[in-house]
Amino acid sequence: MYADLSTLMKIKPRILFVENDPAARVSYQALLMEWGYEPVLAMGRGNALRDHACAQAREKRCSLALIDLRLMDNDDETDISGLTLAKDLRADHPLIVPIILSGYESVQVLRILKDRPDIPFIGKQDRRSDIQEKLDKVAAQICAAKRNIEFLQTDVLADFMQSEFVGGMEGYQDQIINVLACMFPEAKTLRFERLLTSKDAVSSVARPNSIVLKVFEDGLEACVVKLARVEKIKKEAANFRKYILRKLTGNFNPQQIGKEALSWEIGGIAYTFEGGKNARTFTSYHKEQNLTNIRDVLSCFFLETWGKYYKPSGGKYDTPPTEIQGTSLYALYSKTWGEDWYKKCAKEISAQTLRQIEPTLQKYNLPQPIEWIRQKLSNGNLEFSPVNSILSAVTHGDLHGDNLLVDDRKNIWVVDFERCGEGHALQDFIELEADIVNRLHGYDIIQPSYFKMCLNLLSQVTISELGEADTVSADAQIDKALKTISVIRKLAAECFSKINPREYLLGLMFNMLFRAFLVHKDDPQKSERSLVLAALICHRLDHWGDA
Amino acid sequence: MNYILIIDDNERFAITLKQDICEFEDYETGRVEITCSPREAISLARRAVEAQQPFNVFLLDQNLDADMDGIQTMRELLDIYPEADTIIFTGYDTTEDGLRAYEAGASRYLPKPFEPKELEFVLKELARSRKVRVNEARQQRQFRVATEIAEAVGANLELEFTMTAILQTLMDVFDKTRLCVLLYYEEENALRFAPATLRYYQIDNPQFMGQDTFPLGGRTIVCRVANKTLFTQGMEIENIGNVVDDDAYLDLNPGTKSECCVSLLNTSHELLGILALERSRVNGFEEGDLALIRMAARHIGLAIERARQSEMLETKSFVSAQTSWAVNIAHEINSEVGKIANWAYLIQRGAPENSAITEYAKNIEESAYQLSAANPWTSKPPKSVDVDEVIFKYIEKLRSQKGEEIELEYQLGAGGKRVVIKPVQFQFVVKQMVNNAIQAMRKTEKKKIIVSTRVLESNFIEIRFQDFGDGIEMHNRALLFRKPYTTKEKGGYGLLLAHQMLEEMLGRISLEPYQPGEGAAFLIRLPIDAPA
Repeated sequence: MYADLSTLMKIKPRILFVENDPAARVSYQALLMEWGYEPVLAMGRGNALRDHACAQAREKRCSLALIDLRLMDNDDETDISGLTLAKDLRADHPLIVPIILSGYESVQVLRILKDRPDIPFIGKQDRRSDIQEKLDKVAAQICAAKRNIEFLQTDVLADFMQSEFVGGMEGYQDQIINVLACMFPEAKTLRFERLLTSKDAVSSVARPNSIVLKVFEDGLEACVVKLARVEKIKKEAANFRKYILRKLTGNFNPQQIGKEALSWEIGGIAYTFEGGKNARTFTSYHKEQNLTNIRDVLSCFFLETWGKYYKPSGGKYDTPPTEIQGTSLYALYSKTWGEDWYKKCAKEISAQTLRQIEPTLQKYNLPQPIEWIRQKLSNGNLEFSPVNSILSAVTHGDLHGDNLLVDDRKNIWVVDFERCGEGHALQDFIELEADIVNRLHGYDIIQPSYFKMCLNLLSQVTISELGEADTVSADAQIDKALKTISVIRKLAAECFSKINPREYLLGLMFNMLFRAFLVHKDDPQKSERSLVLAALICHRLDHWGDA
Repeated sequence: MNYILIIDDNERFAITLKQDICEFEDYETGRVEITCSPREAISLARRAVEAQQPFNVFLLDQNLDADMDGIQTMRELLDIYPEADTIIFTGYDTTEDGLRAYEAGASRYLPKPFEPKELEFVLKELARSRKVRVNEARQQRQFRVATEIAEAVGANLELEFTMTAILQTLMDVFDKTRLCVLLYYEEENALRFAPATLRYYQIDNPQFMGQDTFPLGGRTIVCRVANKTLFTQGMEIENIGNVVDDDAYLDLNPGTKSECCVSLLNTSHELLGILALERSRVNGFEEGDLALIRMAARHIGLAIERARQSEMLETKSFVSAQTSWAVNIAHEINSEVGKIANWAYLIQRGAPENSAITEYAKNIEESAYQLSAANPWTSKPPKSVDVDEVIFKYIEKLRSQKGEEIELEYQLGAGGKRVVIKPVQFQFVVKQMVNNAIQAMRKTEKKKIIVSTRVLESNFIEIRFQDFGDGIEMHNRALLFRKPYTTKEKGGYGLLLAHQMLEEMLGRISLEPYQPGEGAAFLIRLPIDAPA
């Protein structure tokens, strides 16, 4: 059973208590418990006390820290070691709020504290009721439990709450609601909604470790919130500022709301929700709309919204596409997905999955894609060696159908910027194509219509609109997929005049393999299909000259 | 100036001589007197010295028709005033007589008859050499005085000690002179006798007896010099030849005929005080005296400045030691207060059904906070308060704790004006004032404290605490806020701390000038809090 957000409200805020006097420790511990906190005591003396405090704060993921001003020597009026510790904690972890506790403070100390309004101060001689009020006030800013926020429609987060990532926060999952409390400091209620609106829309990629959803704060309009590992949110926020904010063309650029909230493990970032009536993911839109509408919105996105990054330009803040020398496509994808992406694929795609596809590979004499890459890498094959000239551009880096949003007026915009940055110029086209193929469900790999679709995708020797005959299928789902992919390839050709088809297909192959890795645990069948398509591409590349 | 006494039994010759001398060109004669009798000559010479206008030239006939001859008389006269020049003239010129005359100290030996021109030459030459001699002597004296004062200044940094040494030196140098040093108190805008001064200076006029303070607004010569100095920021000196001619003269001593006042400055040319000298004869101070007085004034200024710096240093280090000590105590008390309050609070929360226990614990918690608040160095932010209200509140609270019956009279006239105070510290100051008053009235019959407030024109509120005790001894008044002061055996830091605390509140404390029979009155000034 996973934890629901409202049950997380019952977790008491953890407050680190640092004091060198053991008797005081005990009395404040009792007091803090009485006030509904979970005191986390730092023990020891001198530097050991300090070190233990830092370790405890991290281990117990404390939100607050109550620190005595004099930690080293009670008789030394110049001792401000508590303040130093507070500053250090604050610098390392923006979401922990240290509060200084002191019996007496000199004018110098008062001056220092005046310059640090982010470090509140409490006098030991103050009334207990005043101390409680002050503490609760600070806590309310960062701890949902001290705010009485009501969370509505939390079932939307069910998948995320059951994820490995959230499961790993066992005991400290209140960080999730604390991050939300920080992002919405005034909220009384937070209501959640999926970005996907059609009921049967299926995600091509499971999101084990992050979630992007719509959040309604009290009576306000919706905003888009992403929750993920703290490092991912940091990256997302940096990318948003670097590539999205005031950089994209058109009126549908999300704006960040407030500042990103970073707890010990989880972080959150909120954007304005763009668009008008009935906004939904492209995945949903694709299912329900005709090809003309699909073509319109995709053209809008690739030629206008993101198109700016595909055009040569000389503006001061522009990042036009560039021919980069001395790199390989493999190296470029490694930059986007992480240097170890292939190793992860090789290690984690289970032997079971590989056994499942083995008969198909043998039947059609196809190479095993993981092994194929390994050989190419070790042989120093042309496309894996740093000799090619490859076009690089700013890409979204994770352009699947759930990250694109479309409204009834055919406005299209994008969310989730964690992987934004300079990469393979064709990546977003390839990724969306791969997403469309992967979202087809209910097909076995050897089903003729599906297999034919794969062959059709590889039939061309140039990357452009598919031949008319290649876009027709008796299967309506596959027919629509082929026609959409044809649109995507045509748009790619419009954006980039000289596309090396081998480069495009190799990129598609990498994408298939990467996707096979991402979904292999949750949806082995999908993983197998991706691997077979990857194998087909490998075969195609190996026999490029053949008819 | 030449003061000449002619001694000759030939009166006609003496008269002619006097006429001749008075007619000499470029030879200044203040006074020329004639006598036939050696006894009378000696008596005249003594009186002149007493009147501080001694004869500096004696003309004597060697052969006097009396029981003493000229040379014997000359010896007596030189005993009275050794710096005088003497000329012996004789009608019976012999080498032995001449030698005898010179041996006895004659400046010149002149055989009769001589031409007036000859005498003129001799007198002028003697005057010239006397001038050189006097100047040399004066310089030597100045040097000696300077050395002595400098030694006095260097020997000790305490103002009272230094002042005693300086005054003693000046008394030795300025014979038959009354002298005093008045120090300038900026906050009172008044001059007040420096410590130790009243050991060397008495006020004889019963009308002014006991007066130690002279407000600069008053019309006195010292105040005039002080005001001039404040204006010019340079040393000012006034030499009043005859005090009768000066309207501003304050007749402290009926015997005074002339007065000389000079301002005392520090190295930044700020007024420190006035050195005043009085003599009982008209035109008592000559050019040479003035140079010496200026020099002394410079040294006294230096001495006061050094003493004040040293005092300030001492006070500061005392206060800082006190503060540092108090800070640690405060920290310790508050840390313990925190623990007591924690447990008391938790007992209340833990036993809500037991009202007695809840009540006891509540009292413990409250006492803990009171304990912390009683610490004068506790750090609480300053607060704007109605001065009359807060004074009344603090004093009444204090009174309720006192065993003794003290009559309290309030004359609160600040009319709702507000001042910014640090509550705990201000309470300490008020407590200090009231306790001091009670202490001062331990042995007196009338036990009454008058507490009054008023608005000053300068945007200040003045709070006055008056008692009816014996007042504060003269020599302690000036040191009151600079050094520990107590009527008891130990302690006496209260006023020092009060002074320091009020300074932190941008206020001031001073002692009102002494009024006979009115005890002591302390004045506290605090700036009015301007409405936001």
